Amino acid sequence: MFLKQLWLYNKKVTLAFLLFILLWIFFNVKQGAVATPILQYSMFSENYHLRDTQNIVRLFINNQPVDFSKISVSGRDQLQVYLENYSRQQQTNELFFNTMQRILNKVEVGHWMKKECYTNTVTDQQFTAWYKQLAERITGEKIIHLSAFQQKFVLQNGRLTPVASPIKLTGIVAF
Amino acid sequence: MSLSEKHIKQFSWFYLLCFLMNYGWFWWNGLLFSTLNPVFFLNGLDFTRNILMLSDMQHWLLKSYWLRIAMDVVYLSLPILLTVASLRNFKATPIIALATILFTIVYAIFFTSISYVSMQGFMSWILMPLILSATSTRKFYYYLHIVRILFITMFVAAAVEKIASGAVFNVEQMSGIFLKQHGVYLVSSNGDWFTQFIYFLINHKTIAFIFYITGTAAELLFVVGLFTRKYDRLLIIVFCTFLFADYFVMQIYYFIWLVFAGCFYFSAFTLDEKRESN
Repeated sequence: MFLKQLWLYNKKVTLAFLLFILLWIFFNVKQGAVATPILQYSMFSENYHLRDTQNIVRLFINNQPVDFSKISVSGRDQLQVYLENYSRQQQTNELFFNTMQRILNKVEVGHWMKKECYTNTVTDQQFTAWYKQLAERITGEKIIHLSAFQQKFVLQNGRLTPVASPIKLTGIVAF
Repeated sequence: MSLSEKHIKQFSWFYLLCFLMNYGWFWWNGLLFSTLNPVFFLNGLDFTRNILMLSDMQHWLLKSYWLRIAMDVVYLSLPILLTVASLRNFKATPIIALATILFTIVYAIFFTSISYVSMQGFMSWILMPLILSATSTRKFYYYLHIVRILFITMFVAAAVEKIASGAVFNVEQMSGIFLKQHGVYLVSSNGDWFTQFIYFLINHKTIAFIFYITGTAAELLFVVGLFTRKYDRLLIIVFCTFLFADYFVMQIYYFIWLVFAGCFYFSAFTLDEKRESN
């Protein structure tokens, strides 16, 4: 048995290995926070259904909808995810800061955490300029006008169908 | 066949090749600090990340182009240095390996906070240097098997989570995943073959579900590796199929994990205790 072999070879390495596995099990059973390099590996283990409402990003470059099927796999993810991440960064960062500070306070580390370190100072104008550059690189188009929306879709008659009006993502501003 | 210095060298080259291929893919897609030039970061429920963020390095990375370049250069250089050290059997190899592990953790934590790439992918570059820290075939053997078991645990954990959450009993699961994963593509495309293929799977939920069950079974199959090494070559085939399927059907890049296949290839070589003790 490998563990026995390892124990006979080096007891410290064996104990470190077992500790890693035990911490891993602990974080996986407990769910929620992790401690890199001890991570959770769910890989689509949440439940998904056909009736789920999909919040889909719609991007318009020079007043034309962007056809994501003509963009590389990574480019597609970048254009979509950075918009979503930017929309939620302020709220998410504050929530995670408060949660982590509360937990780390128990080991006298929380008071070292300064809120400004965990908060972005980026403005919508700065984000738009950055995103425009990113979109130009990915799509290869010179962008004169850019707008982004989020719209709810559900599966109807075998196709994704809009069920609400598109909501403009305010992170993208006129330039 | 017993493990020899030659195998350590082969493994080192394989590690470097995989790393450079990945670095190339990331660079090509603008996924480096210096090519992305980020303007904001996201925090996460991660103790290590929050402790590292005490340094405020996240803001320095947003502000300083040269710091971003330095991060990318060091991230590229350490695996090259480690490979050279391993091939030449330098005395400092364990120190270089430790530096590579620690730096990769720092790099990955900050990079995943400014990009869409997940932390899990970087586990390959965090764990592999442990194997290359070995200065003898005996150490190499034990570290290789430790990483092999850790990888199996990671992979099997994903299957266990799917069973525990009940996802493997939900026939709509894979169709729902396709809607979530490819929603933007489906809504914006002009009905190309991939759109039709995905819609076909969405509308034939049982066929789609077979994909999900097959994927889960592939993950679960790795549990065999905890009891025997006899089927490791088969596991390599299963693993590579999993990576390709993930890329072509799910459009997720998991080739960052390809280097783990090396653990399953070199596990076939045994430790010659007699030779080691001489």
